[in-house]
Amino acid sequence: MGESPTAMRAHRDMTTVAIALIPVGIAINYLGKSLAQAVGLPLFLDTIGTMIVAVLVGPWTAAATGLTTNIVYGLTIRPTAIPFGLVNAATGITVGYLARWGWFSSWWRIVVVGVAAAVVNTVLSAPIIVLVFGGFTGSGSDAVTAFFALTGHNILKAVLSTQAIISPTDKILSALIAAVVVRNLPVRLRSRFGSG
Amino acid sequence: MPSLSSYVPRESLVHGLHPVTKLVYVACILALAVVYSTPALLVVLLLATCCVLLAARVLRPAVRIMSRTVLLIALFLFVVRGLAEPGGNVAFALGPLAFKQAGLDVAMLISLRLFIFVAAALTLLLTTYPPYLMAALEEKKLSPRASYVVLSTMQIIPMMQARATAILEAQQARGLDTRGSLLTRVRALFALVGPLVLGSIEGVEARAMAIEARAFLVHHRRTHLYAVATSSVDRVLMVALPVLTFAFATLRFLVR
Repeated sequence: MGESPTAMRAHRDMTTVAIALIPVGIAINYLGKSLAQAVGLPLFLDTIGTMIVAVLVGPWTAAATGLTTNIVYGLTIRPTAIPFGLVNAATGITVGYLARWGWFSSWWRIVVVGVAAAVVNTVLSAPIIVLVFGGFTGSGSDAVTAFFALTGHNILKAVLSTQAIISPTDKILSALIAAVVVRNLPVRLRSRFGSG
Repeated sequence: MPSLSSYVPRESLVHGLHPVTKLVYVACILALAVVYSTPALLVVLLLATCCVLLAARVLRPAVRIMSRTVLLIALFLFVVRGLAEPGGNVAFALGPLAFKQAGLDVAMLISLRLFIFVAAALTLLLTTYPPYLMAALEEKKLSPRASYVVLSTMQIIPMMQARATAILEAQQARGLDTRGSLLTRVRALFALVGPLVLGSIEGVEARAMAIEARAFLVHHRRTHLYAVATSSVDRVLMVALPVLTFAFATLRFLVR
């Protein structure tokens, strides 16, 4: 049964409870956006679920959550979301490993996790946005990108600038929300999932 | 139970095809869209995909989805890249705004490719019932766990949406301020996300036990409720589509 080390790590994370958590994580990702709109905040908040799974279970289950979130978006309302599956997955891996290494122990550390997630997100999504979509993704950030592009920056710089503004706020807030949620779970439930 | 999907039930040739045939079709269209790099060829390809959508009797829902997603992107592309692309000659001018040819070309190529990609993807998504798609993929060795995750997600999202609305209204009835300053709104967010997420996660344990009781983790050949049939049309198309794609792609390189 020679599995590769990565596959073995993934399998170690994946108890039935972990697998049953993934759809809930995806649903939280999905609904994050509607909740942000209900409260009138101009953010995405589409990785809260991935981060919760990352802290509760582990990086690779969170990666699966992130990847499948975009596949489900693609299968249902936005086929244009599919190319970003790997970006969401990478966010899951980043947050998962940071959580494992103790970076969710204090509020300031959680902010750092948010920044790290924002960096990973920006670095990976900017090339996709520029090469596949020409710089615009049909979301609220397009206006910001348009502003930067029209004021003399090339399209890559415009996209990076947009991401640099929006991503940290989005990811830090998401990380904080994920941390608050996990802390408020009954201890019994946290240990049931794995990393705790 | 309403499940989240874009499936539109109709009677058509495309609806009757095996899901993998449709996946092959999407892959072929994507390959051609990448190989073709002139607007003329891409427009022809786009028209071809629209004809398939018409044959599948889902053209109207498809156009609706395409205008919701790609049209806005195309608009931004033409306006912003048309105006902002550095260097190059001016195609035309509207008063003080000069649209560069290079920018418009890029916008045209990317927009056409995006429309083609979405049109092809919708040919699959609008004509395939998700459980059929998952059952067909499981036959091709997709892990049943992956299939469970996707289908389960599609079922719980509408449920959670209903709960989210209920929680929003309940909190507002308790005086939750969803207007006001930025800080107030962020606090409001916590008050909404908290109950929603905590309640859902607590249900996960019960789900896990339920699926374990149904032999979820067993590595054995499963019997599916939905039998996805492969017809002779499928067998022909599975060979014909890649061959035609290869032919068209090679043709394009020869007729430079």
